[in-house]
Formats: sequence, C-alpha cells, structure tokens
Amino acid sequence: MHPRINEITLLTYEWEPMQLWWSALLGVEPRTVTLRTAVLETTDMRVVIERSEIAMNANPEVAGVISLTLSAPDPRSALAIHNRLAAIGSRHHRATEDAGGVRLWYRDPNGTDVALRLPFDAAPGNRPGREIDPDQIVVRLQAAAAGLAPPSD
Amino acid sequence: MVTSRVVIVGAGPVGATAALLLAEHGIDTVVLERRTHPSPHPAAHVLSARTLEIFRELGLEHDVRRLSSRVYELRDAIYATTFNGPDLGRVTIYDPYSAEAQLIDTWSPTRAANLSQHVLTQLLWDRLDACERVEFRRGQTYLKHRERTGLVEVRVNGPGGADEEIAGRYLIAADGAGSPVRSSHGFEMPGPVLQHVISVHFSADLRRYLWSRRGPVIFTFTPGGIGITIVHSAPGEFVFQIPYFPPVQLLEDFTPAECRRRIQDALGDKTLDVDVHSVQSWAMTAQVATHYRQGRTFLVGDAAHRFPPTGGLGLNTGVNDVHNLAWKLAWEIAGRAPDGLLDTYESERRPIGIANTEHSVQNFVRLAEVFTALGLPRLGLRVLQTLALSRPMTALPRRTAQRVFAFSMAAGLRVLALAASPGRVGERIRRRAGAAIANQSGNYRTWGLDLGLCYQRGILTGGDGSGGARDVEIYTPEVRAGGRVPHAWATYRGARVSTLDLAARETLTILTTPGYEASWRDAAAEAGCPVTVIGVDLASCGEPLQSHLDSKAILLRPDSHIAAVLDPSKGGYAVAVGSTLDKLGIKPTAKEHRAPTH
Repeated sequence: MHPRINEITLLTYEWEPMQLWWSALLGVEPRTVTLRTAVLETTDMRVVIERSEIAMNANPEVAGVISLTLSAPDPRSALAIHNRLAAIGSRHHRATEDAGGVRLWYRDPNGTDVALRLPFDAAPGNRPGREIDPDQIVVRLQAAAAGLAPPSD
Repeated sequence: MVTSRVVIVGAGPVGATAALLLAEHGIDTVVLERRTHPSPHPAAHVLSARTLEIFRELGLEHDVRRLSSRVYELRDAIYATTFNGPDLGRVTIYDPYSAEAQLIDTWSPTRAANLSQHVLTQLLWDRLDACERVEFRRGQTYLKHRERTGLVEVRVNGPGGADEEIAGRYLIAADGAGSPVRSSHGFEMPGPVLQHVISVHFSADLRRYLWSRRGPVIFTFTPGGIGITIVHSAPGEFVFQIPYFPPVQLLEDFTPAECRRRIQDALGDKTLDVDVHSVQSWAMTAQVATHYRQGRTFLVGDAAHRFPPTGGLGLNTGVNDVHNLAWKLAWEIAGRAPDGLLDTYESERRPIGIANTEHSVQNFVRLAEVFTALGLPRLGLRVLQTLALSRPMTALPRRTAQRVFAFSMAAGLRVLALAASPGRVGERIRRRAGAAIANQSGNYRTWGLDLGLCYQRGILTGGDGSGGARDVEIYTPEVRAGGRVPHAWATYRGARVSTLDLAARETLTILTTPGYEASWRDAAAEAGCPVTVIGVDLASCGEPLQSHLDSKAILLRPDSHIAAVLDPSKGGYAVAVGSTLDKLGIKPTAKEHRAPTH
C-alpha cells in the first residue's frame, strides 16, 4: 500500500470564513482545538486551519501547493458537497477534464482553487484539456445523483 | 533653500512607481495628486512582463500577480458576433499548457499580468503611504511652477482651498494625457485623434459565456454596433468600449439605460442583468511630446505620449519611462552622474515612445482588416467621424442630426447580421473574418517589443546602432548594448536570483563569472571609477549569457540595461574597463584612483 496524504494545514487570516467553507466542503463541523487552531476531520482526511493575522495573502503562482482535488465516492455525495458550497455562496467557477476525469472547481476564502473530482467522464465530444461548461456539468451531476444516466450533451 | 527631493505631480501608476523607485535609490519625493481616492472606473489593465520585472524590484510582484487574473483566464483575445453567438476568431495570447508558454517562461523571472488600473493604483497608494521617503499628498491641484537656480517651485491648491508652494530639485510630470505641467511648458503633442470612445464600467454575471471564452478582451460585432469588452475581473467586472462620434453623439447621450441596451446587444442576451456603474469618454490619440525634458522638468507616461490601447503599451511605456529616469535623477542628485546623463532620458525614451505609438497605430489600422472581412467599409470609422463633423450635419438641429446619423450607421452595420447567420454565407464570412483575425496577433503578443527593447543613443557604448526591438512578438534573448540584460536564473550568495537582480544601484556593474571576477575587479580599481563587480556562475544559464561571459563581461546600468560589452581581448581588462568608462563619461574619483602598475 502506498502512503497517502491524510492531513493538510491551511494558514489564514480569514478564520471564520475558512472554517465555514471547509465545513461545507467536507460536511463536518470544525472543532476548535486552540485559539488559533481548528480541525475538520473525516474518516479519510484531517484539515487543520491555523489562524494568523499576519499570514500573507495566498498566491496561486507561488511554489508549493496551489490547488487541491477531492473525490466523492458517488454522484449523490458529490452533489451534496456542491449543494452545501452553493448554500454558503461558493459557486463553481470552472470545469475541466484531464486524464483523471472531470473536475468541478471552487475557490476557498484564501483564494485556493479546490476541485471536486466527479465520478463520470466528460461528454464524448469534449477534447481533453479543454474547458467544459461548468453549469452543464452540474446538470449532469444532478441527473447522475437522481439515478438517471448522465446525458451525453 | 537646498533640497534634494523630487516633486512628482500625479500619482497614477506611473507617478506612484516613480516615487517608489526613487525611494529605492534613496531619494525623497513629494507626490502631489489631484484626487483623494483612485478613480474606481477601470482604465488600463495590461501589465507587461517588463513592467512586472520593475514591480518585482519594488517588492510588488507577489501582490500584483495575486490580484491579477489567473493565467488560464488570459488565454485568447476573442472576436465574436455576440457573447451568445458564433466565434469569428481568436488570437492565442498565452496558453499556459503549451510548449510556447514553456519558452516564454524562460524570458523573464515573472510574467505579464491583467490587473485593473484602479486596483493597481490602490496597491501603489498603500505603498506610497507606507514609504518613509515619500510624502504623499492627496487633493492637491497643480496650478503652476517656476524654476529657480537649483530648484523648482510648484504651486498647488490644497484640499482646504489654500494655495501652497512646494519646492524640489526636479519636477516629474506624471499628470496624465491632459498634463497641466506639460501645457505650462508649451510642449506640443503633435499627432491625430484616431477615435472617440465611450467607456462603460459594468457588472454582470457572464459565467455562462466566459467558461469557453477565457481572455482579457472580447470584440463583438452586431448590427447594433461594434463593442469591445475588457474583462477586468472575471466573471463579474467589465468595461465595455463603444466607438462614438462627436459632435453628433455626445457623452450625455450614453445614459446608463442606453449603455445597458448596447451591452445586452453585444451579449446577445436582452434579459441578462447588467449593472452600469459609470460611463466616461476618452479620445484615442497618437501623440508624442516634442520634448521629454525642459530644464528641471521631465514628462513621463501619458504626459509624454498618448497612443491607442491596441497593444496595451500605454501604462507599460510610462512605467519604463520612470525606471529609466529614476536612477539618473538619483545619480545626478548624489553628484555621481556623468555629464549629460539627464539628457539621455529623452534620447533613450522618446524614440521608444515614438516606436510604441507607431506600433499601436498599426494595430489600430490593422483592425480594419477584420471590418473589411465582415463586409464593413475599411475606413468606416473614419467616414463616420467625417460625416459627424461635416457642415450639413452640424447645420442640422442635433436631434435631427442624430437620427440621420443613426440611420446611416444602422444601414452600414446591417451587414453584420450575415456574420451570425447559420448558412453558407455566414460560414464564408466567419472564415474570412477568422483569417483577418489571425493577423491581429501584434495587438496582443508583444514580448519582443517589451523585453527586446533596446536604446540606440544614450548612456551606452558599442551598440549596433539599430535600437528598438528585433521582432514585435517573439523575444530572442541577446547581449546587445542598450538592451535589457537577458534573464537567467543563477545562484548568488546562496540565493536563487535572476540576472536582472544583480545590477547595483549606485554604480555600474560588471557582470562576469567567478573565474574572471578578480581580473575585472583589478581592472576596475585601476580605472579608478566606482564600479561593482559581480561574478556569477552562469554555467547552467544557457545562451546567450554563457558563451558571452566565457571571454567577455557585461557592463550593466542600474536599470539592468547593458551599457557596454567589455572585451579584454584587445588590450586587456584594464583597457577594456578604462576606455569604456571614459566613453560613458564616468570619471575616476580621486580617492579611488590608482596609478597604473606598469
């Protein structure tokens, strides 16, 4: 068995918005551990949010981790994540396809791009690497979650 | 009264950058800005790679790139019938996943960015407020100035209504296209007005259209008119540019409702919510001041040159102006400038202003190829302006003139409906337009012009006399007197640096490799001139630096432009340094001068 990542730490001055956002993504409540540390824990993953009023603004082009991708086990779970994020005003802003499949992109309050890997392929006509209509992907996700075969556009 | 500070009128991006650069050189400034807050109406938005390199010197790169559009949003310049309709063509500006992007990433330690001028200005103003060497005064209206021996006195009207006199050693006019400072000097700005433009700042949720149209500029062509949408901050903040034709059409005719109607027409969606924030007008001109300097006053940015935005060169040329000027003023004030150094500001920068104006005008003229391909008259815009100014039109009551004019425009634009039609005619027109659009790349791809910029005459020696850039689009790194030193990553004192980070501020810098460092250092000492010598291991840097520095050295100015290439093969190191510094007018200092050892 290969090692796997089970904890990430996010530094932020957006203390409450970050807890709210990651709570919506993971579907668990944050647990405040210290005055400047909160933890969100699922069975597979632990996200630590650290508060710092002197944290520097995130930049998607600095060296290091610049995006995160999560996968959901099935369309219903993926749609639940999507709906929870939508409920707090975090809209999907992009959909892409690569060798691993379709990803729907969101942005956390730090400005980090976070993608949700969806359990279906892009429409047959889509050229890998090209942008996909994110709203269309959401429609397909809703159809898949409802137990319908995803429409092929 | 003795002062060493510099007065800067205008705190737009160019004036503010001038103050920050001068502060880096140890010079105090007082910055006089008419506004109390940055204008919220977005204006320029393209920041070139060279401009980012200059911001990098100021420690601004991280914030500018953070606030800029993400790279995947800068992919194409898009030409379409409407946002909702068929594409006419695209010019790929920067595809981050392409092989070309890998090449481009080797040209500079940073990248071009798309950031609205008002966001950039706020960032710069925050820096001005925080900078101890800058006295930043808002709400100051320039009234006049006069020069006296050794200083310049600027009269301003402050926010309290009282006039005040502010003295400085030099005056930088960064007060924009209408520059009152320039006017007070009587500098002429010869050149034509090319087009009048309405600029509409609006918000709308365009996500449904932008996912497949990732780019900073979207042209639309409908029977309702031609429009240019500048994507200032995707997916919600935009500027819509509309050509207009005074005196038949006036700014007040473009009410928020009228602008909303035109934007919805360009979107091809008459139901979408469009929130119009502000409407302004501006004149697209092609003008360069006859002089950039008079006495102690220097013109920079739009005060010195105004050209069409086709090419995105305006703000960038201004930032480069002050990058060129700052170290020269600092040297002059510190008493280490060679004779005539300040004159080289004009001899170096004005030809660039002229060249960039010409390039921008060419881009503007080339747009007519797209119009022609779509069935519009090649000189349609000019014909409409001539009509608007014609005696019969001006003789008519304005309402009547407007109706006649609108009828003429509608008749001319009707042909654009064909471009969106689904049949063979539409396909043919779109194909023809696509070919014309493919020829518009000089409008967006200007790395050669930006990074390959080379001064022809000035504080340099041994240039090939050609000046300018070799190619507009593609930059080929080369070691060329007058040009910017090619970027390469190197390790210096244990840190990863760019070759652009190595130039000293207070002296010229000899850039060499560690093996030759001692030889050049001895030669510099023998010449008796204060010169910094830096030996950097460039073995991994590749060409053209590696082979050049095998046998020669590069003499860098504080702005990272190459003053000369030093070749010891004819007479040795000391002769190479001594004769070059002599040509540049750099004089030995008594303290540092050593007698030749032979």
